[in-house]
Amino acid sequence: MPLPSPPIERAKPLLGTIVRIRVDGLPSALANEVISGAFDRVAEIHRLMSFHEPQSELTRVNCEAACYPVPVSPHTYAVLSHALELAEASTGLFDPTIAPALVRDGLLPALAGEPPASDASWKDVALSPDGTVAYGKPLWLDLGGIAKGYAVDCAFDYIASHRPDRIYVEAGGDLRLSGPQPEPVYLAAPYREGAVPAVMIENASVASSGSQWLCDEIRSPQLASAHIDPRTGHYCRLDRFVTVVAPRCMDADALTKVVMAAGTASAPILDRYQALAFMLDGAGWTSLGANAPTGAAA
Amino acid sequence: MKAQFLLIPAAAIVCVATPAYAKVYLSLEQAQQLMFPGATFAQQTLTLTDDQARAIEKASGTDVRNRQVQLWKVSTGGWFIADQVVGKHDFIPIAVGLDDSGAVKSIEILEYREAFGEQVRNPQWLAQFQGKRNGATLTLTKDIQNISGATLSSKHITDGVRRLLATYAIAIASH
Repeated sequence: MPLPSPPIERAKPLLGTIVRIRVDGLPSALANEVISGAFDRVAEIHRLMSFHEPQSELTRVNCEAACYPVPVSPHTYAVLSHALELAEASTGLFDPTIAPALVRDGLLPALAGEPPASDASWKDVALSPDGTVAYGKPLWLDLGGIAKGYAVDCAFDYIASHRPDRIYVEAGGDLRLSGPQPEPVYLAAPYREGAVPAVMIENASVASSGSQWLCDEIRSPQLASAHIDPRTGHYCRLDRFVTVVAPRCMDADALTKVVMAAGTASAPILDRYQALAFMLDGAGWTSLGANAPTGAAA
Repeated sequence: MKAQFLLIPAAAIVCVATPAYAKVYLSLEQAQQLMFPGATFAQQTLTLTDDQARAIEKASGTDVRNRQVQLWKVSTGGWFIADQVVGKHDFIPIAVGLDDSGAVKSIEILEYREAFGEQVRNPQWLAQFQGKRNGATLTLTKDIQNISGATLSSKHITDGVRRLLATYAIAIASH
């Protein structure tokens, strides 16, 4: 019997955050090669879809797509089409075109060129089967969270093709893991009544959103939540903590925004993506989605 | 996919305090071999002069806190530099590999102690995790990125790499 290989874990600065990858059950040389390959995939998504990089494909789309259709890579096309599908499914609760509000409030930098139309929404983004994207009016897409989740998924899928025992990929709070048994993921929610909130997950993705802890960091209650309810243009209520568990990390990340905005009304869309949400607000913890209230999903 | 929500009584979590959740990813030697497989590494002594430090600060817009550069010349070409940048609560040791031309070949974070982010300041919040099992996972709220699209730690790493590239141009390339 060969000795079991120790888990290999590495971290790199990517996607504007620290990306961590751990692989168990592969020989260490192979594990390192696979982890390097996974980081390369994350870096590629970052290069394509960063709102902040002047050279990114997304920046070119934001600057040009209101004038003519812009061809995009299969990765960007996949994320955009998923973002638009989610926007439609959530009737705009998830809307990747809300960047103007974030720019207005100093949470995103302004781009060069024509400012977005104040009434622009996801409905003004047209994807064509020929692989191009066109805007019906000037607007700025920000794929931030959903692209981060997609990058985690791409890294995960690449690693999974090498069949290790366990996989852990995390990018700034977006997490996807797989392994032979359920693992506890503790939630950084406010402490209540002597109990620690956790989800036991197996082969799933997790993303969480909440606000109160961020106030300390950016010292502005008004800016403490970067979650804007697209229906009102206002920031979501600040006293809500949401964790979403979904098969894909891209969905987990995007759905936190929907639950932050809609609360219990988001159950149908969670079901559609086979997702579960655990929400803490003034009424305590609520389970939403596929198998609520037990929260145990097949 | 399986998921189950639990509220675990804090008292049921056995106490093995690892509050800052330090994680060592790579030793210097491991990082060297990852970036330059099969190469040998000759450590160089490099102490920046006042003029060099000033020039690096000017070129990179980043403070030079340590005049001593941890530098290795790589037998197969290129350079390996070990450095530290300021994280939110602690230093983050990083390694940067440069190719022959001085371009970044690879960046690795060697250790990271900040998984808890801002929450470490809240003793009550922290107390609930003091027994966190080794290897257990903590999900934080998605981290907030500032206007440059980066968290503080990742921005400091980017700044540090810029400083090392300036260090290369000013003090190493002519070596």
